Amino acid sequence: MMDQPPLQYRRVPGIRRISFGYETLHLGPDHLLSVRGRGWAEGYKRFYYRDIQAIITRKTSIGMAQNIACGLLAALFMIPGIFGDDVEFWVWLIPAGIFLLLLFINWWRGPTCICHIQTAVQTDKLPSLHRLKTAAKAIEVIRSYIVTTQGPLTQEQLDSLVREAGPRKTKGATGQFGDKSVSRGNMLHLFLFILLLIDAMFWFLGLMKINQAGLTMVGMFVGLALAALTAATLVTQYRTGLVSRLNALTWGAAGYVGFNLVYGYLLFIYASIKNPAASGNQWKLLKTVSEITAKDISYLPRVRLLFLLAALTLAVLGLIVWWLSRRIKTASTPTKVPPVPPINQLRPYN
Amino acid sequence: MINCTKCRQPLSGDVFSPVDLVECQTCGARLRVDAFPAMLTSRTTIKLDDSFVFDDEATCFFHPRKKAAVSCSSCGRFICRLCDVELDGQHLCPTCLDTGKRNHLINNLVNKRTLFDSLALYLALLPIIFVWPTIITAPMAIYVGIRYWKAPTSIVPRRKWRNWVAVGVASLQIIVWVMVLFKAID
Repeated sequence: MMDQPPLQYRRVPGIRRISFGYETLHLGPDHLLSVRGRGWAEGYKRFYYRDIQAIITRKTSIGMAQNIACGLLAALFMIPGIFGDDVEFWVWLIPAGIFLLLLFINWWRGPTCICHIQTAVQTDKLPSLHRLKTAAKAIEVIRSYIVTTQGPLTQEQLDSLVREAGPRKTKGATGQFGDKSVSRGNMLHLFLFILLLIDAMFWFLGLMKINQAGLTMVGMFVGLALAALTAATLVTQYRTGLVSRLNALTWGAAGYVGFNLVYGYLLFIYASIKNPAASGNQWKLLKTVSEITAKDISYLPRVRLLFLLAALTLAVLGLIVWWLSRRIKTASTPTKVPPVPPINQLRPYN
Repeated sequence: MINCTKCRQPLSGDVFSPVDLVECQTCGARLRVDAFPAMLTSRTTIKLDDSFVFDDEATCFFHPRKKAAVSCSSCGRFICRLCDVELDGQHLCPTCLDTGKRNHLINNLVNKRTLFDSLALYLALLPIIFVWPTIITAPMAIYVGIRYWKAPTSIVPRRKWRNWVAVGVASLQIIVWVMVLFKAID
């Protein structure tokens, strides 16, 4: 019988790990190999390049659901720590910190997706491509091998596919890059994150026990300006196809502003109760608020620390992501249904 | 054509635009399609030659009334178009294909493999959680690791560290058990 030399495979970016198993993709000489490892066995599925008709990538909300779950769990563990003593604070901070770390890692890895590979007889899932960023890289590599076998898709072939599929029947959003609202949204993001940095500075002054009525008043105005700017940014970034991390950070800022407003409102209520005579005089009320210390509310420094960390994290991450997003080119077509672009205009996903 | 992988409904033509993710017109799922020329290529049909053969013409080994089209790359038998299976540039008859698959001689037909190095590693590491089973699983791990040291593992590139770790950890476990037993006897 013939004795064949072992085939050479090159691994494609992306891996899916499950309990006692994994799923990976490898590029062979004439086929794509999907490897499924379970325990101490491996199963293989081959997709020959000549047979691959299409690769379909669909964005999912699994990543967002994971982020929400991690965030809620972190908040759940932080609450008892805030209202406990010093030891309890640090004890509860550990699991809260772990969930915050998981949240950060999940958020950094980007949105999730499901990839399918279509041939004439089947449409199979590619489990190892479950992150949009990784899928984009992997598909670019796979595409080069398929194009070598099948040849590139010509403009006429693409037009034929588009004609066969037909026009869009219902109004739906397509990625509308390039319109003016994107550039306005980006500048609003910049102002938002700078204001968050300024807000963090006020929290820091509060932690250092630098409490003056004037500072409290300025801090209050900064908080209100932050709320207004966050609302404006959310409105302008709606459906503009902006980088999704920037989107998420703006929503994070909205959550921070919400908690900030609630905190401020509760402080004012406390000040009114502590000094009923000041209730009728705004300036006296402000002075009472600025004079609240840890002696009055024992967990006040911890709350301020948490707000400082939140503001600083959002501001720094936001500025980094904003700067990175400025490096991504946007398409220049503001039409509702983008025309079929030339074949060589390939872009990474966002 | 192309259907949405969520709602299974046909997608509109703008999904072929490689600009960004496009919403499905039925369910709103955001997706992108990378299409290739195979989508437009129709299947080639093999024209089977049903004609009778003359005495001086070569016939298929499995179908004596059909003309031979090619010879098997493995056994040399003449085979018709129906029997011919083209794989890796070679033409194989059904018997050789079946033999090659059963004996794992054709790389492209290998659909699964037992990873003995992973098995040895699991035998060496997992029972540590329960401690006592290691007295049985440690020798098993060493046996599997050494017996199948040179057995083919995965068809994709894979290093041998699992075997080394399995044998090393299992050996340590045996040494510890021997020391415990000696101490118990003393």
